[in-house]
Amino acid sequence: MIFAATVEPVDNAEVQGDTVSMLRAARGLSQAALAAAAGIPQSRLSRIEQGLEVVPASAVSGLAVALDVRPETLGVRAEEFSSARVFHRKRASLPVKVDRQVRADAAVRRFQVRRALGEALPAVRIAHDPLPDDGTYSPADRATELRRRLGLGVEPIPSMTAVLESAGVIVLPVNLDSVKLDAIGGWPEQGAPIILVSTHAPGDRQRFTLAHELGHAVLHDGAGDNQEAEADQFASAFLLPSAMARTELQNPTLSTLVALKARWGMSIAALGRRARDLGLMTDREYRDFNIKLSTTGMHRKEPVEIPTEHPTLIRDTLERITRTGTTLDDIAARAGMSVDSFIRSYVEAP
Amino acid sequence: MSNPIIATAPSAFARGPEPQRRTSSDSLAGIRHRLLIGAASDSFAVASHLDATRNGIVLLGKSESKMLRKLRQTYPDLPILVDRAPYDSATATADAPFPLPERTDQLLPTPTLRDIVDGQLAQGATLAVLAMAYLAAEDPEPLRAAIAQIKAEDISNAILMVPADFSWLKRANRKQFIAILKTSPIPVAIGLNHRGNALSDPDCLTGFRELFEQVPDAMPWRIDHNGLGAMALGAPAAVIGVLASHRHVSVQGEFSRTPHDKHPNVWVATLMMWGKASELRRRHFATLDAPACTSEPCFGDSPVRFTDSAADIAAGNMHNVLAFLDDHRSMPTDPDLARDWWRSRIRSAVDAIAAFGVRSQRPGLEPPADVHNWFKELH
Repeated sequence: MIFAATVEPVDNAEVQGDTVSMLRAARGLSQAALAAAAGIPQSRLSRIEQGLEVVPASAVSGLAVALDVRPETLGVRAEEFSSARVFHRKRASLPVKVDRQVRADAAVRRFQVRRALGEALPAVRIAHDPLPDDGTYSPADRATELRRRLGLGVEPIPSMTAVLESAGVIVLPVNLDSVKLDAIGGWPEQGAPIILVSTHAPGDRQRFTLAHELGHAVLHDGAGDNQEAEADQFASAFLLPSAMARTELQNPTLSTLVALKARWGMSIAALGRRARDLGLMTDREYRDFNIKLSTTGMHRKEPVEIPTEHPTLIRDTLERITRTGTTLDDIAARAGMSVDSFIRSYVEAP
Repeated sequence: MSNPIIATAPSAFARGPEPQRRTSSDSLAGIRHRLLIGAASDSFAVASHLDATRNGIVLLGKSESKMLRKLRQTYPDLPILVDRAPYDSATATADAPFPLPERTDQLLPTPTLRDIVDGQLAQGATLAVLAMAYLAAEDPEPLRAAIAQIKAEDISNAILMVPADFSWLKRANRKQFIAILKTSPIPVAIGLNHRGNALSDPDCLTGFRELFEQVPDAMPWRIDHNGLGAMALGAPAAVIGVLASHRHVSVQGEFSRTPHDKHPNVWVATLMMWGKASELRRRHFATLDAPACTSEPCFGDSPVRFTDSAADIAAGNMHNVLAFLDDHRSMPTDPDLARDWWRSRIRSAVDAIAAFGVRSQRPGLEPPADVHNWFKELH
């Protein structure tokens, strides 16, 4: 058997209030909205979520439909969804409510993928390797080391998504544009890291975001002061190793950076920052460079389009599983989802 | 030459952290509190101006061995160190952090660090200098490897000279740089590679300050007037170069030069300003007199008077040396007082520039970027 256990059927007495609350947050529903959809009073839903009241049998199905899960998922204990190190890359400050929603949505997806695909996924080939407190190692060191361990050498990475997937990291493109988020990553205590990446970013930004999330996964445990800057340093060094940057970013000009964008799949702005951080561009040159980006309109839309990347790991794994005779319906059931919802989320997803 | 230091209330100045010292036997006793001058072919001329109790000399270049023996015979008490500057043409790797001399005879073993230290000391060096190859940006492995090699060979009586890319001082890198330097069992000297003055970047200046405040017995190497700033922050010594090319680390082919203008690069101490004498005359002192210098080659004349004759070039360079020796004499050895002295020195230069700007009808005249950054950092 290659799967985790199927979600067991649930009766109304076993509905977990915390789970209902988390699924509601993941769907972005208010208590009033969910109560109306499930046909129960809001006060009752409130007590259900607090574990103070048993869900009436007539309401279980309605709640499950409104939350886009199978009824038995409501009986899964909330801890099964949430035990993961979570990080996200924001484009703007995130309201608490939205932050809660994306975290809950990510937790649900981690649960679904783990249940659906389980041990059929490849082994994880990255390790959590936080920086020592004494400061003797940097994010760039960890990026260099990981490149070495994954056998990537120092050449450009054709597909950041493929590198992650071959290392056992699951990449899920999702629509995060409405919440101004580039990605949210999580690494459950047991299982593979999963990165939900925005479908709306251009390819170069998406690649940097994925490398940034990989940096979080390798370096960080929880909240910390300098984590975003460290993940950026990791991403820069992972995408363009210093050994190559020192040669290729010598005397950088806008036109050479345009050419290098195509080669390394990094934005012109990120290449400029890399040149500055490596001392290949003085602060004054960097200021002039940014002025030029602005006056030419490149800070809004850069030339050279880097194609967005498309993960294949989940689809390939599903194909492999279904060739053994297991149906999508079986797989969706293990994930606690309807088959339509499963196909929409994991087969037809961009 | 005297320094026009404007007295300011030391109490207003936030004290920096107490400079840390290595507590084992003082391997730097021979050079502590001394201003060292980095020189090459002009070593004898420079040495004649040095006070063996306050100064010393670092011989830079490939033919330092011969010069060391001759100087030692003439100046038996003068602290003398040597630096062959192998970093000019070699970048450090984890496998070869030190560019050790190549074997000319395959039957002879490759020299060890111990051989190099013993060789320098045997020839009369006060302390040996182990110069790494150039430490490129974001590549800490060679530095770790160099320190591991020093530990493995149990080296003492030596300084580890780290010729580093200036970006090691920037916010993203300095924490690691400082942390690794602290693991060195012997004192470290830091030279910076930069197209211009690294401390013109405020972020680098902060890194410079933090480095010399936090790494015990770290000292600046091949530097300009900012070496005095490092000493004021706790560095045990500093190596200021006679020539412009000796006031920074130069990785081959990375620096632009102005070969057409042979005028000496001179230091205008009052304004803490550097420039080719010709350029300073044209830009700042066409109608106004430059501040006078009382040191020996100037005798009250202005340092911007030097021409591009060989004699004037040498005199201009010597003016710089004597101006720094003068500054160093006025720096207290007490750490708190030294820090206050540097703060006042910077303050006086900023005030002098402002006054000069008014006199020259350029009221917005800014101090040099590094002086401005020091002012912001310390006030």
